[in-house]
Amino acid sequence: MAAHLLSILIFLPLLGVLGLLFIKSDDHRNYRWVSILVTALQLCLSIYLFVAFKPEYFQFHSYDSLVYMEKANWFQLPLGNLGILSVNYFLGIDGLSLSMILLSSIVLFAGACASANITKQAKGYHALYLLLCVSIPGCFLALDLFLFFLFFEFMLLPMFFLIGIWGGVRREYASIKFFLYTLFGSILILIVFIVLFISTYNPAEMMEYVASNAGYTMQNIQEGIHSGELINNPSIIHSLDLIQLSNPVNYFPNGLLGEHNTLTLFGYSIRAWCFIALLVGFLIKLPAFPFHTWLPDAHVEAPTAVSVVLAGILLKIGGYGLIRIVWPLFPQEAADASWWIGLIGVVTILYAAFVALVQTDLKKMIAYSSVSHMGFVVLGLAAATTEGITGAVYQMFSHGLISALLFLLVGVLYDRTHDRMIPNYRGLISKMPAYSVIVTIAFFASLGLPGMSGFIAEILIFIGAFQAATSATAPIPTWMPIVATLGLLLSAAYYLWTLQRMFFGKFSTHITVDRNLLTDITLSEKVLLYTLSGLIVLFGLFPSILLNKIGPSMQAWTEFFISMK
Amino acid sequence: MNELIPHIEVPLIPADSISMLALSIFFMPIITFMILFFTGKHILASIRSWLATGVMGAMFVLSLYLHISIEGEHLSRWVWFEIGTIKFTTSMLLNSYSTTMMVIATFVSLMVHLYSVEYMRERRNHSKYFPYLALFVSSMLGIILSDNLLITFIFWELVGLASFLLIGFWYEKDTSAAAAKKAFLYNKFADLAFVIAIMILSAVYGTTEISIIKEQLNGSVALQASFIGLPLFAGLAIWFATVGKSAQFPLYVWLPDAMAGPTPISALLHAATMVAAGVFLLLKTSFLLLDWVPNLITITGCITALLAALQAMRTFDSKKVLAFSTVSQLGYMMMAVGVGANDAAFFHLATHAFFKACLFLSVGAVIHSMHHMQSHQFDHGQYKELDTLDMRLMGGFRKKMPITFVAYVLSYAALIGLPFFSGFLSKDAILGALYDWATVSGGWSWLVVTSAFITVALTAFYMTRQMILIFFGEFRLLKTDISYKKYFDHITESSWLINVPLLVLGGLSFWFFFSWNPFHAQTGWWMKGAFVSPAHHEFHLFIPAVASLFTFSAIAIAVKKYKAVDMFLDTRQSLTRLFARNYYIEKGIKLLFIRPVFIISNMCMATDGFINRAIHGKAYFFIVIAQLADVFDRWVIDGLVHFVSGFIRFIGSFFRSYLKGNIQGYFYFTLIAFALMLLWLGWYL
Repeated sequence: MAAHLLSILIFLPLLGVLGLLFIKSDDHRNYRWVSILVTALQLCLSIYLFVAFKPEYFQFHSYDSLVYMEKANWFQLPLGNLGILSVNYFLGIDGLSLSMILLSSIVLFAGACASANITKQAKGYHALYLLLCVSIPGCFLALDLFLFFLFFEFMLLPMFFLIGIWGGVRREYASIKFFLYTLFGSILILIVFIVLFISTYNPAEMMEYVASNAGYTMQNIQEGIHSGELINNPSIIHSLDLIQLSNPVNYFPNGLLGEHNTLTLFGYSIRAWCFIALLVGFLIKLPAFPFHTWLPDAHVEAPTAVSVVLAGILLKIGGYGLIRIVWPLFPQEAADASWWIGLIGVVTILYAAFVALVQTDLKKMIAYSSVSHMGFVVLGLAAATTEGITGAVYQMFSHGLISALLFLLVGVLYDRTHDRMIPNYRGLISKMPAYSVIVTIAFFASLGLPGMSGFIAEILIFIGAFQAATSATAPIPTWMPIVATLGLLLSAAYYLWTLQRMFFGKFSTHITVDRNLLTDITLSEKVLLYTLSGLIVLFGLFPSILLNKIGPSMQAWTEFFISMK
Repeated sequence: MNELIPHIEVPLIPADSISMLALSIFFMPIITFMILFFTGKHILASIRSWLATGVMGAMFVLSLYLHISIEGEHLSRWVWFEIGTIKFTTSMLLNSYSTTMMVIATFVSLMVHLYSVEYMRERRNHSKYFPYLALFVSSMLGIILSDNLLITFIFWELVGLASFLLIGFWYEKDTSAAAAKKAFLYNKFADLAFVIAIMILSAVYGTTEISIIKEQLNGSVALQASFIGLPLFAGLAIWFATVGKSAQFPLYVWLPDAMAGPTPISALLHAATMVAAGVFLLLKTSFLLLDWVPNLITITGCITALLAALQAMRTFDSKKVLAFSTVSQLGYMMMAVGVGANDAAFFHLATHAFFKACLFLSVGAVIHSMHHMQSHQFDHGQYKELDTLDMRLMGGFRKKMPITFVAYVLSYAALIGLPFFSGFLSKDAILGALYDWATVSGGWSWLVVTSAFITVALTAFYMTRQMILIFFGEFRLLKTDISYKKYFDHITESSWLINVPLLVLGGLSFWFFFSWNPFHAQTGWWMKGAFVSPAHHEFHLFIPAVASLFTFSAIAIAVKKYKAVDMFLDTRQSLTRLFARNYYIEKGIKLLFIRPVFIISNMCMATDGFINRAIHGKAYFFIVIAQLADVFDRWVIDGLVHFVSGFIRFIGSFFRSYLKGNIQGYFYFTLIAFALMLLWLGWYL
């Protein structure tokens, strides 16, 4: 079983979908147990994986260090003189994926628990939710870019329906906007993947074919390509194996992305354009300014559980893509563009914080605060030091938990009164004390109070960014991390202001709100919310739990990046 | 890794038994917090109070033992977390100076706990009071013990959290909620500087361990010469963080508002310990205060001391007078730090902790009885608004609450700096240090000295004013509302739970607790030479003489002015307004920061709307193209198809038309066919 642990983790929810097809129940609420059970199983598997994972170095050129790896040939397409297109089913895990897998299982489980109150077409809802549970871990584990793209795209389908059918008032608009926006990004990514397909070759696979021909080694193949002998040979295998792609030797020297290529478009090389396209594609997902406008609408209109999943993990896939794919494949271009990337990061942090300050809808405010926190990830990436990138990954993990908590809390209020407007409430602490306590904890966690995971992430990013800024190469200027600290002040401002307006003071509500609906949180809600808060505090006080596992991978990533640029 | 400096080794040091003791003292309030926060509502209020107080008492005893038995320095360091090979460490430093601070903090906390048992009895939200207090105490101890700036920062923010929760303790009051938010935000702004300091030090030294940085900075001369820029900014940034926490001008405005919290909290946090944490931090990192930074600190401290004292002179809120006084005395401590007189600053920190806490607690006792009077009225159906803090409504409490009065007078004497009291010694130390500094620096520094002396007079004035207004004369509330008379007549002394802390703290205002010599002290004897400065301070007789002269004349003026006052005419309204509005600092901040921020926010939101409209525009563009394609599809392509089918139909109908039963038609066709056949036959044959 251990050999196929990753596949089981990914495809378990499909069994759940199958099960759902055969269950018939008059009470629609019984379907939720399928999702809860399946996501709980996925959570157990992820925890097992987390505990059993030994923090080896992930070496970008070798398959040896991938402990849980599954590789199988999927299909091949011979294209005559253009070679053979090969796609593999390739899964692997390293520190970065590990943290994201753990996060996704926690958040998906929380989302499943939060979906407990869906009554309208519950079977369809849970089936779609379980499909989501398939594609998200798949995205994090895939090491073949074709497979990655498959899972990446596949997420959009359930999200579209989940938002579009079970969402709020403007759900159709929000779901189409979300879908088309991210699809546009995916198109850019696809274009780059195609370019990668045709400008690289996979010597390892070619080895398997010529193994019978004794005497041939990978070196021979590589020399053959580089000397121009083997071009336009029908036996050249192209694939999107990420490990092979990170090795610059595997690029055709005269191909589109090769070193001898002098083709330019508006003054930028093809490599630079590919980098920009990939960057934009993933930045749309992250989201970063100016590609973020799909997020507020999608979040506000989505049902609670879907918001939890959207903010908790879907955003992280953008960050994951940047760290896993973009930076290792285009290190030189990334290093050259780091000033711009840092700028995008700082602008995202501040811009989103400014907008959050003037929101009157609680959910929209939290949505913008999500955008702001993702800006920190971009800043950490721009710095590309070990602390910076570790901070970025920690921020993704921590923010996943915190925003899950925040959206669950908004859901608590919305489920009761269907009104999320901040000015409509005052002094809620008198009526809903337990709820207010958790809201206070969540708000303080999100603004980066030490003792919670957000602080560790942010301080690591700041330290990393400033170290980069004062180092000899100085990819980003010193003012960027310093100006970014204002983001901390702004988060404190909008959160505490909301706390003061909505929760403290004398209790009163707007005339449209029925006070009797404001009941305090129930035991089941308390369990979920306190567990999430507990996790946030746990990872804030004992960061080594996560960092022991992901630290070496992040250090290896940085060393690889520095050596390649 | 950074190429500026070669990798600096950060050795790990395991904790010895003394350090383990300190650690256990640190963990005790955390356990209290965990127990009381989660089970608080389910256990009796008295159990809650006494559990917390008992633990606090144990902590004090252990801290005292630690302080007595410590020899030299104990530093321990261990790893908090690592990223691959990069280690983030946390460390704890125990020396006579941190143990002294521990004793002070635990002692004042113990007194406040005892006081709170009675003061907070039967108040709303009681179940959260002692847990929050425990959270505060542990975070404060964290600041005292930590020798790593990152860890200090963590506890620094946590005391900010505790302060937020405790200021806003009575959350139903709008003033409390607003004050809590204000306190946190002003402190957060200053804390950004702390983050920047951590960033700078991490980049330059690769670590935030204070001992290591100190070694590096003092050791390498070459380092200082070429890299003074960054360490200087780090020191400046750390100072700026204390401008927020230790309420220096212009960020001190949160402190007067923080008086909305319960009085024991004002005594503990906003007088004795939390606000002093900034001074403490600067004393620890004084090696980073380079070049022109100390002068900046002194000037700011001077301005703070003076302006706050002026404000105290015209305010009628009893707690706010003490708040301004705290700000002013913090200014004194900062002035001492700025001139390098670390021992004087720490000395004043210690004496101030005791007498200011006593002042707050005694004024609190008076407020408590005013509150009782109000609730008695409520019990009899009279719901009257009463500002229990307003000094204009008080008076004559000397006879009714003599013990409170005695405690107040003792600490008042210490604050003013009357001879034979502790404050006299510590203030004299600071003034002496300022004088010594001015003789060396000359020029503008004499302005600072003058201002410090003037502030001494002002301090005497406003404190005497407060004393007279609260404790002397008649109970002025009776003038506006005679129905209070019966309750006032029944006021007795508070319970022992309130009086014992008052008297103990008041008693600590005497000189002998700090020095056997009532007129001059090098440093307190029980403080174990904490921060004995290298320079031996000469004793200038004229300094205490001049200071006492100022003090006594100010007292005389105040007595003359307020002894027989019964009406409070505001003769200089604009001045009063200036002081009441904190020199319009908040208005300035609103104009310079808050309004621009909201303008930017609205601009950003408009930008978002613009981006959305651009996307919609793009969508409409595609819809237009789609419509055009549709038209093309329907009219052109489909049209072609229709045309072709129509043509064929036309041909068909043309041919079909001759099969409709028209005999002439049939005949016509037969004739043509016959003719064609003949032609064909003829042509062939």
